[in-house]
Amino acid sequence: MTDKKLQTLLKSIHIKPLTAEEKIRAWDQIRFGMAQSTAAITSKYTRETISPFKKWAYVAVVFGLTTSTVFAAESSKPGDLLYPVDRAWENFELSVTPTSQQNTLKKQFALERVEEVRDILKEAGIQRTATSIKKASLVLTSEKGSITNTSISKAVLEEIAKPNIEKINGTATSEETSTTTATSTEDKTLSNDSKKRIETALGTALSYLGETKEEMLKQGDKESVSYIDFMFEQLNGQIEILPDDVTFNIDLTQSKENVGFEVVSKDNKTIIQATVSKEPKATSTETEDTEPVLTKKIEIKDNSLSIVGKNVIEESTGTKPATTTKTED
Amino acid sequence: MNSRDNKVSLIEEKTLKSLIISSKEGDEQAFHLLYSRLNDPFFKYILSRTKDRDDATDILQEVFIDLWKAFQTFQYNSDAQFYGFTFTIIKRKLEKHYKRPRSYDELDENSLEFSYSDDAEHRDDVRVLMEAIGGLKERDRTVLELHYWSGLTFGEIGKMINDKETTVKVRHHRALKLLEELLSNKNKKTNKKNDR
Repeated sequence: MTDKKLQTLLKSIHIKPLTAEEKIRAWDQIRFGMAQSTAAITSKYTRETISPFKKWAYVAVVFGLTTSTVFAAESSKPGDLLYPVDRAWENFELSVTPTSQQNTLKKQFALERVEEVRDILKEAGIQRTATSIKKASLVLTSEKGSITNTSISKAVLEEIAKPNIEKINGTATSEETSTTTATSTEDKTLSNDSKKRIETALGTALSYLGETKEEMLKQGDKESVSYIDFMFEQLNGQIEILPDDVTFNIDLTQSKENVGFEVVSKDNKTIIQATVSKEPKATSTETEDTEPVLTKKIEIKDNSLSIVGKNVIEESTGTKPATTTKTED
Repeated sequence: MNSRDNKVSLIEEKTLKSLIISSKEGDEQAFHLLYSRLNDPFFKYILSRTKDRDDATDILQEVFIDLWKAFQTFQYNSDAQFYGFTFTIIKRKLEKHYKRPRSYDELDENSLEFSYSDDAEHRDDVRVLMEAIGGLKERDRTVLELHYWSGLTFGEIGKMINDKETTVKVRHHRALKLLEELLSNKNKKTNKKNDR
């Protein structure tokens, strides 16, 4: 084979690049990693200033526990016996942290709440996998009917190119948000115990994020509010991958009175967001003309949030889930 | 020129240096522009090594997260130094994920596109060529992958692997000669088998 023929052959091989959707998803993951890293670095000073000895001594005295118990509490998750110990330590850390540093620590804790949900879902065998994202069928409904994979890629590409600050930040998810949820449940039936753990973790995370957002809004700390909103996005991403054949009931009574939650339709998606005292309530984007493609029915009633899977709704009504927008004052 | 074109040209106009410096200061928008600019060549190179699209995506994400973390201490001197620094992160990530070298014939054909894929003979040539590339020296192989698949110029590759442009050209030339030799030996063996 000649030099020229070899070069022609090499040039004829192209490695498929990331699609527009894959780029957005990858950036979302990168951004989450960046948030973890930033929170860890900025809170390093605060958390290192308190010696581990003081920490163990404090928690042990307050709760009458042994050092090994306190160690175990550090890795506990919502629903675990020792989880209250872990949270008590967080409160102690906050109480001995200078006011100027407290929001940094709170952001770190907010991230931990989201990570706890993710870990519990992972333990239950529920996680978003790159493989399933790749294999997920992309169906976007419009007035003209469904659009093929190729045209979605094009649409998303065009969306990225738009001079939109939100897109540059990677926070907005554009048309691809209406894609089929990519979930891996490893074909396992969710046990009652796992279901309860998920409900507890989601309730804990929602309450913490709502309360923290409210405090930060009161202080006028816009940067921190934006960080908490990003954490809400991450949490909604976790809710999105919950199994379709299970109904989850989440207790919201642990939140403070002035913190509420509402379910709204945004970008063809049902999302949960906090409604706090100083924030103007978000307006639902739902209209009669456009029916969002939903994989979950989410409702708030009597301080309880219910997330009903698509299959459950189809079984009970024989129809696909309808959009509901309810507000908890 | 419409607003969309303006945005595109704005991205192009931003120098690598300004994006790096802004990213170092915690500017997420700048870091996203850096990602937009670099994800394509990096991903293609990583995919050529991992052979698995999902693994390649995971590694790409880790590379950019590590880069963001590293910006806390990274001191910008030149574009070349930055490219070299980034390539070191990529190599470390690849080493961590794949300690055992794998042969090219494991590369999923779905990850490749051929200019004239209907040609059976061409597909066979490509398969043989992929195997032959796997037999090249690490640095020579990297030059081919970054040049033909990531679409980088010899000058850019030099920055990535910390070689002079002329050295990269020499490596490229040598790699082609070696490939010719490997392919010719392979053909001879095949012909001998057919003769028997």
